Amino acid sequence: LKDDPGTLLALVAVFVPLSLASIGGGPAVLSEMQHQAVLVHGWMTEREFGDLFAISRAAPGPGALLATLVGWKAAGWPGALVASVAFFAPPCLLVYGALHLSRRAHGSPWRRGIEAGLAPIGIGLMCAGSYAVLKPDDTGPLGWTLAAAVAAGRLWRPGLSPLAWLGLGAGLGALAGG
Amino acid sequence: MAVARIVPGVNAVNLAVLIGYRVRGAAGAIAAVLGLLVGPGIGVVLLAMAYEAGAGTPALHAALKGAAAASAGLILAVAFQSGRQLLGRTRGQGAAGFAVIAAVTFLQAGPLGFPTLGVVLGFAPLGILIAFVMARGRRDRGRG
Repeated sequence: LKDDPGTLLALVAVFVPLSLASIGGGPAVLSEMQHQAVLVHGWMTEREFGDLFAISRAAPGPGALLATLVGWKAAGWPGALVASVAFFAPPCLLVYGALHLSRRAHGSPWRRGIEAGLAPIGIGLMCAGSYAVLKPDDTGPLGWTLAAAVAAGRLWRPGLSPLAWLGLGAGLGALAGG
Repeated sequence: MAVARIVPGVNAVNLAVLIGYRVRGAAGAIAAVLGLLVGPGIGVVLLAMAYEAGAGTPALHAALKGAAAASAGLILAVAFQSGRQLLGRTRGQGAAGFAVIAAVTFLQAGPLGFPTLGVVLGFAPLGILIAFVMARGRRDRGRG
């Protein structure tokens, strides 16, 4: 499958629309990314997607580099490059365009209305992303409990590094599953 | 800042465009985005290659599963905080409308598995309409 130009085109067709749906950030499109990578295109299993998701969140840099990993899994280094450009470039162009326009629109009711109106969609999508990661059969109630506990802990102690919570989760996971 | 939030995309990347643009125009924006993504992008693929080499070990998968669940929790915390902020600024019917949009968006994009872009395009006009009606109500009360 590697080096197949069809796979590279499929990556573009998956990641350009995803990038435009990422209201509220990368986690918003997790569930659709999983659906496309696992069910539609069969680039990996649900289990591999979950592992790559964990790697992308633990590694330095934006967690959205999961897109790079999906591309790599589908078509090696060329796939990584194509998926990254397809996922990161369109929003960058939009921000760039909006920056030109926003010189005039600064503080306009349009901007505030759009921001508030899109916020609930972003919130719903982030919950859907968490659901997608926790859903696989082998995760079980332990995963849901751990996620709820980490969410509560994060809100309780916002100063603590996210990596501390990831480390705690990895440790507990190894204890429970090893 | 606001532009980076209302345009779709990864928040850190959008901010990099913004800051790079302010410092040195288009070239600055490109440099900032490449600086943010190229190094970590190569790094994360190398990590994934190391993972593939050890993918057979159940202990590694178990640890990553725990980290993935913790990451899902961190995302939920962000969603909760955004929700609290939004409801802090919105009252009554508008708040109820936003809560319904968030809940239905979750159901459609999550358990029901609808295509995410379709869900976004379907709800964006409704959410923005509610936000405008709420803003108009505030202005009218301010005048009266």
